[in-house]
Amino acid sequence: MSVVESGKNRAPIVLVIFFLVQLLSMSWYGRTKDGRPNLLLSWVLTAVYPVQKAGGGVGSIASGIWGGYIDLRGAKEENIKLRAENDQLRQDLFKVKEELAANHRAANILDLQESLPYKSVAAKVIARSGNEFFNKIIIDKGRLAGIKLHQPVITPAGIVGRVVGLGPFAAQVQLLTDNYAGVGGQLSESRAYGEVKGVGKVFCEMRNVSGLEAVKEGEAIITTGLDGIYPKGLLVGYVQEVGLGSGAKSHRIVVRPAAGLDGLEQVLVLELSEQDLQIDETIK
Amino acid sequence: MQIVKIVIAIIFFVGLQGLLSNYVREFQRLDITLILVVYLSLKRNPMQGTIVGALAGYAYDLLSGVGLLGASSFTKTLIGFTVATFNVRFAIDNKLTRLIVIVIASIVNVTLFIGLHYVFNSLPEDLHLRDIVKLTAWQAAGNLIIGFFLFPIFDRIFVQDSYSASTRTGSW
Repeated sequence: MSVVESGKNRAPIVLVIFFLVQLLSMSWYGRTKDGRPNLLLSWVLTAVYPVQKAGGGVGSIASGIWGGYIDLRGAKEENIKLRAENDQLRQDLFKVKEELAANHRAANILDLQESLPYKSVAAKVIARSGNEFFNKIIIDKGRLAGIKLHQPVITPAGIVGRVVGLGPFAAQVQLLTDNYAGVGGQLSESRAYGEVKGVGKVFCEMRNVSGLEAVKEGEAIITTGLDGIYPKGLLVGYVQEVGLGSGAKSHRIVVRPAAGLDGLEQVLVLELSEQDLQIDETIK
Repeated sequence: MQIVKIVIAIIFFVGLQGLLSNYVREFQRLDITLILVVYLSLKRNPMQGTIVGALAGYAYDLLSGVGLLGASSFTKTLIGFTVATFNVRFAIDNKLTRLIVIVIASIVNVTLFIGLHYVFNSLPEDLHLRDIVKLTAWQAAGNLIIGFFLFPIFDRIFVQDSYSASTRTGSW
């Protein structure tokens, strides 16, 4: 029997073995829904890091060219010479604007880093989940930069999420909008507590807020500090829409995350200590 | 050498999927790793198709942070094995039929992936049938277009037929 013949015969056996391993993996993960096999994830993050880190620069240029193209779509009827000049000028302007915006973002991150009472690590977003139903990003700093699992990630605008996977050079961050993400939230005016939960879409939902509380559209939501991950008082988002509840039914509150999660470029990972997250005994 | 190329290609494409999704959100609806799995499965070697599908799927699951670890691996393993087995019997690896295979594989990929999440109660809460249909259509069309351009490149990269390579080396 040739090698290929024996390979063909062995393939169904290998298939069945893989299926069993995958079903076990799915059953285990379906039950726990918490954490990933960190060793495997660490290997994969490390393996793809050079591709994503190197690709980031190329991606920015391509993104700039695409943006330039979008800007120029309406210029078809202009004569060729003017259009070429216009093209060049716009590209130059775009580059300058991009550089200014990048400087501004970096300055914002630095300002925030200096103003925070916690130690923090600044990181760039280098990749995003390849599936639209799950909201995770990958940042270019990992264990070697001092990042640990479950540390909160923020921007000057508000909280982003928490670290759920770690490699030596990169880390995976679960965004607030992910289906499995949740954060303790407090309405800034009514002071009512609730749980801000991701639903796998652009917006989140705030749950378990009594229907008797007065909630206004546009009201800010801040972290409670009770979930053991995010320190108290960070901005989570704003009330986008309220489905009014009643005495027996909670409000249905749609929340717009304050940090623009769609266009994230730079973030801060907070290096919190146990003391930073200590909850007041009276609240416990 | 062929195995090294395949491993590098899997790492590259899984990384590329996340990288492109960061800049162009529409890439989240496509699955360029699947294109690689289909191409490598069209080499009349069910063992290669099965292993490539399992590894690429697992790497995709981990890196994309999907709700059910192993779902994409299960889907791609099945696709890899089936495509390779079909190709042994029906020769579906010519330039036209392999594009049709990509479309069918994409539809199976989304349906099975979502189906597994449904069975294990891990679907996003606010997911409607129209979202799934839209994703399926996007993935089938997008993978077809990208596959059309990628397959000739793969033909040059994987120039040594893995079927004959495995025959000689006894690997996979």
